[in-house]
This record gives sequence, C-alpha cells and structure tokens, in this order.
Amino acid sequence: MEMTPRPKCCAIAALATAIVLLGLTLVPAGAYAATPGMSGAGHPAPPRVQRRTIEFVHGINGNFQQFQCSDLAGGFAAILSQVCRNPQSFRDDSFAYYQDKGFVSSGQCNTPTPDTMTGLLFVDPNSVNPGICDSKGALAYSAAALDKRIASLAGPVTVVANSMGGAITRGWLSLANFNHDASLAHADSVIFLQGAQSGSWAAAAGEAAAANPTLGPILTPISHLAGLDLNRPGVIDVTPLSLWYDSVNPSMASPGVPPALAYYNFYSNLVINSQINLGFFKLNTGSFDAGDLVMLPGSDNPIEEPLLGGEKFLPGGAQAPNRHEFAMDRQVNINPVDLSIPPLLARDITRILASPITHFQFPNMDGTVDVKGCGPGSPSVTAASEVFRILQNPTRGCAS
Amino acid sequence: MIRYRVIIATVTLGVGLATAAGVVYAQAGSPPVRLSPQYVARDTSGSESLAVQLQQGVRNTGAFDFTLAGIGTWAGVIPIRPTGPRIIHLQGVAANVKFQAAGTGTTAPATVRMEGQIDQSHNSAVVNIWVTRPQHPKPAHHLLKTSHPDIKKAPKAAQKAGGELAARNWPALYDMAASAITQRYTQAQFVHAMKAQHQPGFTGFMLAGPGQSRFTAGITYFIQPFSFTTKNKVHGHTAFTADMLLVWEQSKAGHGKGHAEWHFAGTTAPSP
Repeated sequence: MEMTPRPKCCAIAALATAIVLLGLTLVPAGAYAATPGMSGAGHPAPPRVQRRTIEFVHGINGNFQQFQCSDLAGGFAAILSQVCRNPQSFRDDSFAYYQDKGFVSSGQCNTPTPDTMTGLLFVDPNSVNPGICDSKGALAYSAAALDKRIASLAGPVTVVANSMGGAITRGWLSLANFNHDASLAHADSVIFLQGAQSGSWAAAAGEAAAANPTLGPILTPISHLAGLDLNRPGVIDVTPLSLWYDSVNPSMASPGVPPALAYYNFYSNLVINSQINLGFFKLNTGSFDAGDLVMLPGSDNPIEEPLLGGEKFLPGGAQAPNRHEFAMDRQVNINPVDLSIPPLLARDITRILASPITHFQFPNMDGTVDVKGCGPGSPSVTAASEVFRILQNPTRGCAS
Repeated sequence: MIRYRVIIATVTLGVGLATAAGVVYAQAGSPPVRLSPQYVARDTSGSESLAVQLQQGVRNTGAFDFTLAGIGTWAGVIPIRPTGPRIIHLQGVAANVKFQAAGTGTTAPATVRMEGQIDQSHNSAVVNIWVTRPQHPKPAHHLLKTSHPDIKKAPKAAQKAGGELAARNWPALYDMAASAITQRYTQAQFVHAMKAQHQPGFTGFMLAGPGQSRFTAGITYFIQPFSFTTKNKVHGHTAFTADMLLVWEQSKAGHGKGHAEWHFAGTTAPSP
C-alpha cells in the first residue's frame, strides 16, 4: 500500500521553528536540563529544568476533572501518577472537551462556548448546545480547543490521548498542520493509547460484525455494552468512513500528520481463536483479531480508512527512533458452538471482556499489561512503564 | 445439556463506557430509544450475507453491509419501506456506498442497487442485488435467497451425526459437516486432524430430550442435548452430557442453489 511521503523540507522547517520558539539547543526536547548557564558569582548555575507538559486527552464519556494530579479516578493512574510524582520535570494538564462531563457543577452543565475555528475539519452545524455535558460533543470543537490550549502552554508538550481523545488529537494535528499553527512549535510528541485513529466499528452499530457467524454473537452485545449513543455528534464522528475521518485523514497534498513530531501508538490485538469440540476431540477453525473489542487493529497508514475503522497508526510505515507502534497481545479460545447457547455465550463474553487489553479494562490495567519495549534490548515492560520511559525523551523515545 | 441458569456478567468498565446496554438516545436529554439489532439475511450457500438496520427513525436506518465471501463487502444506506407487519421492502439505489475488497484495509467508491423484501416473522428474505466495484463497472447481479429450515428433520440428523462421532467414522462425519469445517479442511485433512488426537471412546450415544432451534446472525441452528458413556480401566463407566449444534445450510453435494439440510457444526465440551 502506498504510504504518504514525508516532506523533508517541511519537517526541517517545523523543527527549526520549534527550536527557535522553544529556545532549545539541538538536543532532544525531552532532555529537560538543556541549557546550563553561569551564576552572577561565577559558579555554575543549576541546570534550568524545562518542565514538560503532559497534555492528557481522555476518552469518550470521560471527565477531565478525573485525570488531574488531585484526582486520578478516571483511569491511566499508573502513567499519570508517575507524572504527578515528578513535578520538577512534568506538569499534568488534563484537556477538557467541548461539552465535557467535567463541566457539570452542582448538577448544572456549564459548557463553554465552542471554538469554531475548525478550519477544514468536519463539524455538524447543529451540534452546538450549551446544555449538554456528556463528553460526546462534536470532535472539531474539541480539536480546535486543543490547538489553542497547546499553543498557550509553556515548555515542551507531549500529548497523551486515549480512545476518542485520539480522534480529537488527530483532528488537532490535521488542523494545526494545515494552518501551520503555533501549537506545533510547542508540542513535539504524541502518544496514543488505544486511539480512535480511523474509528470504532461499534459506532457503526456493528452492521458488518453482526453478520459474522462467530463474531456477531460476541461483538453485537459488546457494541451495546459500549453504550455508544449513536445519535450524538462525537459518536457519529468516530464512525468509520465518517465525514470527520474524511476531513482528518485526507488523501490530499497536505496530509493531516505533521512530519516533525514524534509518534508512539499503543494498540491491542485480542485474538479470538475458534476451536470446535467434537465430543472430546477439538478442531481449530480459524482466528480473528478483535483488536480491543471496541476498535479493531485497522491500518498503519494514516490516510487509509478501513470499513470497520481501527487504532493502528504508524506514519511512514516503519519503526524509527521517534515513531513506534506497540502491540498489546492476548489470545482467547472460543468454541463457536457455545455461542448459540445463551448462558455459555454470556460466560464467554465475560471471559473475553476480562482481558486486560480490552478497551474496557486497559485504562485501569495499563500498569500490568506487558509490551515489548522499544528501548535498548527491547525488554518486556508494562505499558505504563514504557510510556513514562518515553516521556523522559519523547523526541527519540525509541533510540537505541 | 442446555443450561439456562443465569450467569451474572460482572464487567468493570474503563473510562466511562458505562451507558445502559442496548439503549440509544435520539438526542441527549430526550427519552431513550431502544435500537434493534441489525437484521441479517444469509444465503443458504453461506457465501452471501446482508446485514441491515431495519428500524425506522434512527440515524442508521437502512445502513447495510453486503458481503460476498472471498470478494469483499459493500457498505452504504438503502431505502427501506414497510409493506406489512414485520415485512420490509428494500428498493432503490444505495447512498454513500464504499467497497472493501476481502483481505484489504481500505475502501473505494462503488454502487449498489437492491430490489427485494425481508419477512422478519419467518426469517426469510429474497433480495436481488446489483453491485459494482473498482475494475468491475458493469453491475453484477446476486440473488440472496434464504430457505425455510425443516425443524422436524433435525433430530434425525443429530442422531446420525452422533452415531458417526461415536463410531469415529470421520469421513462420514465430514460429509455432513457444516461449512465452518469444510471451508477450512479437506476431508483428508479433517480425518488426519481427528486421528492425530487420542481421546476416550464413547458408547451409548442417545439424544437427551427435545432440541430447539435458534436464529442468529442469519443462520438457523438446532441445539440437541445428548448423552453418552465412556469406559476406562481407572474410572470404569462414566456418563457425560453435551449439546450438539446443527446448522441449516446448503449441501456441498450440488443439489442446486437453495437446497439446504442440517449439517453438523460441533458440540459443547462434554460434562460428567
């Protein structure tokens, strides 16, 4: 498959701009003790530590108030608690969606006026409503707000995005890249955690999955369990092949992925093996990679839009010191015969949902799920440890 | 045996994916609208399937996926019109059609036209479908036609399959196996896979009470409880029960499109 070429001129220009604006020397932005100086008395001054802002963009239905150092109840505590324990090096900034649940106060929804500078991003003109706080608002408004937020932050910024937050982040990247926005001089890296890169099959109400004899009985209840309100703008946006993705993943001259940033992507491969019983005998009849159940793996190529969406993302198509995909792998065996018997189906769905790499579990299991790290020796480490290690030097997080 | 005890599914949900199962809101703040599952119609050959949202008044009314095994899937929105109680007519040119070839990760524009109807009360469908795809601009016609399962024949088929299983007559069992098995294994491969396993033999195969049919994902199944006995030197005779699954689909033997019978699709794990 043809991958989008990275324009070297633009990458260099963007990098140069970032260097000027950040006042950095040519060292990795993550090396935050970058500029040693001299004190007035002639003694070496302590290194000026440039704090890195971790801009956390939560997932659908999340509440931005619960991803702050004062309250990490929303999930990903294994990552964010490490950030919060190092205030000299990091600052946690939890991003608020347009119509975020966190805007509810004393039972009242007080969502701010949306940022309508959405450029070429698709947005439904009827999606403005100050009375809704459900974290399922139109993604374009949140993407525009993220652009402004990052531009307002001091110091280098790493965006860490989960689920629908990944889709919003892709919207910001596209918007900022097209407009050459200042936010790209502040952010130097993005880490996706099960991001909605090309959409969730569940948001399409699972038309295709429903027809699969083995997977249909499993995935259709999971689609309902995910509780995606199919008529809300944000859910419509994360439907595969939506107008939103057409505007974010453009196969046009100016691709929606700024070439100068570092990208790291964590996605799930939950492989469901079909194993039929014939009395005591067993027969394997195939496997299916169900991704994290809410999103399938999809395609690495940022401009491709698979029919059922996906969460893979590797601009340029090859692992590099500043670009890497981390697969989180698990397998589960299912006897398809069981799926036609309701109690056994319920048992199997429960068993599948219990996997720590599913979309439902991972936010609270990021400290236990192992991945193959990209550091020297490629050790097996937890996803949370790997994310925090990358944050030490995010522009070259996978350099050997 | 068919076990209908309730299993409580305790699921810890991550970042807020916790809306009540199966409930979809027409608009935030308004009364909830229950979204019906997609209707799935499958040709008895198993090679053609159509999943379509028949519920009126929801965002994805008429949204469909039409899949041709080995070729790919067309997705779009087709006009639907109720013409009777639980009878829906599909007619017209589909909108926003994308085609994804089998085994690929991307889509391309295509066209789909349909003419036919679905009778949800009888789980039957007859739909003419014309499709185009890249490099194939001339519409290709497909007739998706379901057939009515003959439930009365199911216990006899289960008895035969159980007999072949007990006798370890693998070639005969393969001959009545479902497409989920025969599409993946030749008869020789199937026989080899079975003979390579060392499992206790069983005797006294018996159907254990009435079976029941189910319609899921466009397929009619028949679930037949059965029992049997094993014998070994340590434990002596041990009685087991399990369920056998039969599926109503077209025979391999070339009786023509639309001719279907019950095929063996496997069993649950036996339990003493």
